Amino acid sequence: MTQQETHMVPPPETGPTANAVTEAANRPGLAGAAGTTAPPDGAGTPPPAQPDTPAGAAGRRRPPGTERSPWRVFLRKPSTMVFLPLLGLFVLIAALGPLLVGDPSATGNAELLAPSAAHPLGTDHLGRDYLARVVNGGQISLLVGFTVAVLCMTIGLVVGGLAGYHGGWMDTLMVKLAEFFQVLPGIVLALVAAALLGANVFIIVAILSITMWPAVARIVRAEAMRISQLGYVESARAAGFRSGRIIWSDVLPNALPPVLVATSMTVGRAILIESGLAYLGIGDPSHPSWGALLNSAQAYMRDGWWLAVAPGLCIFLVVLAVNMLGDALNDAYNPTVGRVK
Amino acid sequence: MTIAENQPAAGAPLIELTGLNVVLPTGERSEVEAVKSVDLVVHDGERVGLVGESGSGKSVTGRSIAGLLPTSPRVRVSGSIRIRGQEMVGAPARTWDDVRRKTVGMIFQDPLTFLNPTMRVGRQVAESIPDRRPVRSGAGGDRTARDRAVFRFLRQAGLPDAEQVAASFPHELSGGMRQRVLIAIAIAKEPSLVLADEPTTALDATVQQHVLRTLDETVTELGTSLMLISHDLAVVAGMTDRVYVMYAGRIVEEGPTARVLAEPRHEYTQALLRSVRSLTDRDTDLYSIPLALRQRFAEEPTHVA
Amino acid sequence: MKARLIHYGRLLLSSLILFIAVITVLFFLLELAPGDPIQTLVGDVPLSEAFRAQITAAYGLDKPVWERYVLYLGNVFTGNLGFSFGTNNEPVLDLILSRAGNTLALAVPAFLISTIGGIILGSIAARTRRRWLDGGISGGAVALFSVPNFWFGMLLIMVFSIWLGWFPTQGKSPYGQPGIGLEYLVLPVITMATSELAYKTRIMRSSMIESLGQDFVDTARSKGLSSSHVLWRHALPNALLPMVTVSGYSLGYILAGSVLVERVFGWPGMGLLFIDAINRQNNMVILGVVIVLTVVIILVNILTDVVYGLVDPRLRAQFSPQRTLPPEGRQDRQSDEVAA
Repeated sequence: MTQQETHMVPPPETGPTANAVTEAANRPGLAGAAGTTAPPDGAGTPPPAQPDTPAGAAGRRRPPGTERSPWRVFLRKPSTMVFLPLLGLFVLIAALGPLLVGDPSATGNAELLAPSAAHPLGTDHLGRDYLARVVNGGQISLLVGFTVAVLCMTIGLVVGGLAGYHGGWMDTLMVKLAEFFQVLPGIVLALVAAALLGANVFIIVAILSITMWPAVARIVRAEAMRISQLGYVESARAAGFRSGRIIWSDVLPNALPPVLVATSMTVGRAILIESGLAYLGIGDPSHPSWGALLNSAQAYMRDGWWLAVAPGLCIFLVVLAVNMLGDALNDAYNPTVGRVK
Repeated sequence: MTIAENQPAAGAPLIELTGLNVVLPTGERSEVEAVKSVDLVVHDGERVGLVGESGSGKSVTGRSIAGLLPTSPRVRVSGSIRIRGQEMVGAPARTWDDVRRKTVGMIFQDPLTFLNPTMRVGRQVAESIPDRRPVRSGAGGDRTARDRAVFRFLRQAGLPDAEQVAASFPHELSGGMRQRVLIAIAIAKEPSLVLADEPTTALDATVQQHVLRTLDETVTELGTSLMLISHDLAVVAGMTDRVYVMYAGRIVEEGPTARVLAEPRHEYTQALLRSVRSLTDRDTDLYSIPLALRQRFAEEPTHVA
Repeated sequence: MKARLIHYGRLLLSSLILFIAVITVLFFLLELAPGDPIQTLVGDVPLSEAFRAQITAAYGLDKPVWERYVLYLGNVFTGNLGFSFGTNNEPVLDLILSRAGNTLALAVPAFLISTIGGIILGSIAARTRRRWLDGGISGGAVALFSVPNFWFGMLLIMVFSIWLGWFPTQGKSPYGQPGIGLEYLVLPVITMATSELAYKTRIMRSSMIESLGQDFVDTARSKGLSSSHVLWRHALPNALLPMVTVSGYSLGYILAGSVLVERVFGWPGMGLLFIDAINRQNNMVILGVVIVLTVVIILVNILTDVVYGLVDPRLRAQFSPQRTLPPEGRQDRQSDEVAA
């Protein structure tokens, strides 16, 4: 089916490249497109030298040492300065918040109280303080999001690295597996698995990781394929260096920026899918996440609008922060020189 | 409103650049002065060469004549570009469209990337034929007359099987044929100036000769001016009457091609010729221009006329 | 022609393998499910001994695993997706097909709106020189892409149905009436279209920027064509190529997302059927919906492949016998580059 893959993927001349890495990372379907285009070489690299096109003429760079590292470019971007602290705030709230707010399951207040000084987010239909519930609900969402992302990154690095570097049957197997998860949307597989195997956090994390790793793996694979064909790697191989070591020292550093971008997008998608599952009632009922809160809020849209607003806004802001940071990272590593033409 | 201005001003040269400066962005905050106070003239029927190495600014100069610099607001053009006496620096996009539609035909370097991969060759040529009536779609106008014109220009560009070529997509043609298609596109508007930017660099040596001969013949037949931009002195030597030598954004030498090649006055031209000859002559050692000399050329503010 | 046949033959074969792989995974998920296998199969329904024996025989539950696997595969391929055990033991396939129309009534408009809207908005964002316009479209796309879809639907209900009273909150038609009411369609379609619209806008924008940066755009400009002609006639057709692939996949995502959207709006389609089945542990229905969805997605993938082959002349050429052009000169012919 490699035939199909190369066929479905737009040819390099017209295919989405650097800019599209961000999008591609988001979906297995598109990651294929990213898989065929070489990952970005890093910042400030002049375009391939064509004799005397404007790009060639413009190829003279700032003197060495005055170029800013992509990492610093990333940290100085306005969107980073807004969204990195925002994400940090949510992580902090998830980590420490539960200690500061009251018991999320304590009843006893009046039911469906609108937001007030005593209950900044109001109370729910059982008279529980909604702030306490929202603060506690964040733990699951963030935990699932980041765990899935780390697992996907690990699986993606190992599988993508091996497949791209060794090629052959390993590569075929990876491509087939990736294709499989591209056919079956993650949320559907997660729903089936949760329905049949039970709905606990571990199963959800496992299923999401299993369905979402190909996005990262494809990027690593492309980079590994490129690297494994370079002369110095071939000579390293000839000199008897083990492939694991070559992947670790040569493939990884080059693949890392796009992998980080893909991973950050994975966080957002995992959180969205987890909240969707929880909204459908798949999740730990004793520890409701933001999605589960929205599930119960559905019945009170008329009389308790605040129940539906706060958790959704939290999901939105966290996912937005993660996506914006991914975008900023992508921009920092693939700078586009203004708008040409 | 441009009709009156567009009338050829009596005695004005076809192209006249005075003190042209072009600044291009190279990064988020960096930019380069690609062209520095360039003076250049092309008269009607004249064949002018513009030589220099990669990054000398010759291509940027050529593109500014066709108004094809990147449209980023960070691209800054100052000085004067006069086409038939009309000032084009700061001219509205419409005026530039007009110039490109009628006056200047450009031939680009890479025959594959400069042709639209999803459009048949015939239509790409047809688009270049100016239509008196306003045409809404590319297929408008008198269809058969247009088709005949397309075939005529393709044949003129050295593609005898014009009908078949016109029905092809670019990837179905060989490199040499694609370059001929680009020539056909450039001459289809019957321009006053054909501006060829490294027209044969991407081709094999043997094909180069064929394509250059075709270019030579078509320019002669149409009686248009030619501006040939190349890093290859040999190409320029055979094709042009007068030559400009560019280095680091400046014109360092100008004169009749034969004279410049025989007795170059500027040190850079001398060094350039020496390095080229060292490649072809068997008995000389390989020569490359020393760094110290390069720095001096780059800093030198004035140019030898 | 032969190359084309081989290509599509391969495509069909690999699609078949993919389909079998999905069925296999589903089968083993069933096997892995804890508890009584019959109860797992039938779902949360009380069983008589006679019925037990009947099910055991029908699904060969007394046979070894591989035999059961073959039996299951055979059943799926003959269109037998089992029965919805419970009140009226309806065949699963009939049940799903009776709901499919309602889901398509949402999915098809959502697909069209998101695709066309994405192409237009993405092109505008890519081309405009007004920073605020590009920023607004791109920023809006990221934002909409980050919104949980079902929550967006809830917000729409709260604003447009409850607060403003413009649209009904739930269902597909006034109570007891058959068919689909147009005013019932508006909010769920918008909800379904938004995240896909955002996604396609982003893709289209980067694809269009890429396309506008290509060399052939310079050639088009050098002909003195108007900038809108260059955009629509030259840059757009090339920028659309990646959109073909994206749109193909998006239909699968829209259908999968219908699970959430139909729950929000109480829309009786396949998604709601799926959720009801999950809540009642009606496992045959759960698997049935997944199988039907898989078939649809695989068919769309094949269709995408075919469409891509048609719109990209470079691929179209691969399948047709190479044009034979007479040599324009011997040397030229010898040095032919391999056409891409």
